[in-house]
Amino acid sequence: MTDLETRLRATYTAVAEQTSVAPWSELPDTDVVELRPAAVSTRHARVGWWAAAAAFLLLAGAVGVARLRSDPVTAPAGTDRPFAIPMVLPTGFGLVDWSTDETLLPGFGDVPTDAAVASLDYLGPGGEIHVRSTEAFGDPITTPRSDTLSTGLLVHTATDGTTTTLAWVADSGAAVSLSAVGVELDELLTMAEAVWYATPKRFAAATATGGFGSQTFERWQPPGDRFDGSELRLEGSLQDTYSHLSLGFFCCHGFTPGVSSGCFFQTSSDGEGHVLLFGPPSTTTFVVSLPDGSVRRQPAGSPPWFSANTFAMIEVDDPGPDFDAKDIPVSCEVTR
Amino acid sequence: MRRRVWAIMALPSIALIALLVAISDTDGPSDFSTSTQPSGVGVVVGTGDGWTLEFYESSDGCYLLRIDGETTYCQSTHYPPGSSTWKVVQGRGHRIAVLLYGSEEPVTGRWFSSISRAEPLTGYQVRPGMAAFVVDLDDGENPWGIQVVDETGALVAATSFVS
Repeated sequence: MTDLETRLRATYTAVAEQTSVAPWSELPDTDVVELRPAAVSTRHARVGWWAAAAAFLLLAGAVGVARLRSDPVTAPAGTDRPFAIPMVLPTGFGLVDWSTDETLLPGFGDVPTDAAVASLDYLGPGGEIHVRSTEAFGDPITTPRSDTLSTGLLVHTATDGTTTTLAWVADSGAAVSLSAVGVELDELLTMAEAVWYATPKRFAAATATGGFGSQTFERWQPPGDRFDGSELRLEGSLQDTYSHLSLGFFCCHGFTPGVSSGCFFQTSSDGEGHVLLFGPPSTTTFVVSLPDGSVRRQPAGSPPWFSANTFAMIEVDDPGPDFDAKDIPVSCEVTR
Repeated sequence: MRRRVWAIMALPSIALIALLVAISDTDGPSDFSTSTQPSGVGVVVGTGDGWTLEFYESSDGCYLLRIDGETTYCQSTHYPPGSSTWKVVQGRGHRIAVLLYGSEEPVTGRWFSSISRAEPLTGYQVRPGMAAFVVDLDDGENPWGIQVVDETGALVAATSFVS
């Protein structure tokens, strides 16, 4: 045994002899004292209040300056769906070029150097259309405008010679520019409403073979009942001249989207009582009068990649052999 | 000694067979043949670098491609307006994409592939109501599709070559 070990043993023995062990209940009562912060002098308290007030004023000032420096129409920077792909086109237009390395965004100021700007170029009868999009950033060139978008905030409309430009900040956070020659403003507004907001990965997939070749790009489960086929799909191709990109549902139904002012419904053709409800983007609830006389209030929702419509799926019990959507009047409750 | 003689004789034979196989595989399976000549007199409706597009009214109105005296099978050209059919034929050192499009009006095209974006294409009028587009593909070029455009510049069809 070494000298160190001898000294350690002696220490442990001494500690053991001075330590008593007993059950908790047998321990002598001890006073419980409330913990209070140490008393501070009145002078110190005053300094604390002044410091808090100064910090509050400093914070309020910083927020105010930030709001003044940035345009209020600018959406929060950063989105995982920064690229805009039109789902409807004016008749006769076709995609001819695409990239993700543009540097300009008409209707906005200088694009940050590290921003990836997607571009889609279309040619048509006597005209051309250019779509540019990227993550929103705080420098739109705002102009007076009378038109509005229901799926984003229009920040710029202008006609320079023969070129008409629309620019908007989408609800998704994307900054989008649409400029065209030989296309009516109404057609551009229709295009601007029905846009697929894609991730960079989806944009690459959609343009991988020049937009040729149909694919299913997105899938989403609308609010409501779940059943076989109760998903909404974004499918088609950027080069399809007939359906282009469309929204598919059930086994094999589909429609080309666009902002609508009314509520609509579509039943499955298999007699299962499956119903797709869709309405304008402001819809919060679909109110459905069911065949049995009851009323169902079904909350509505939009997929993260498409905000021009709201949707829900319901399954009607015992629909009967002649069930049709016209048997279930639907109305939409909208936000004011 | 006898084994060595057989070995010496076998080596050139194996080399000759390998050479013949290599030569015959140069173009892979060919869509061109000297045995598929149509009857009647054809009309050359389009020409390119080493190929011609010919139409044969007497053979039930069919078309074919000809390279160095060899031709493809003569394909029907009876398609209603707005419908189309396409194929990629190969042989004689070429891969050629062909699109037939039913149209009463003159049309042009835009070619899309792994190396081309909206490259202008001539629309050959094979017969009244039938236009054809022919693209001789470069080595390694993957065809994506053809846009068909009318005289006003409006897109009237887009045919995908992507499966």
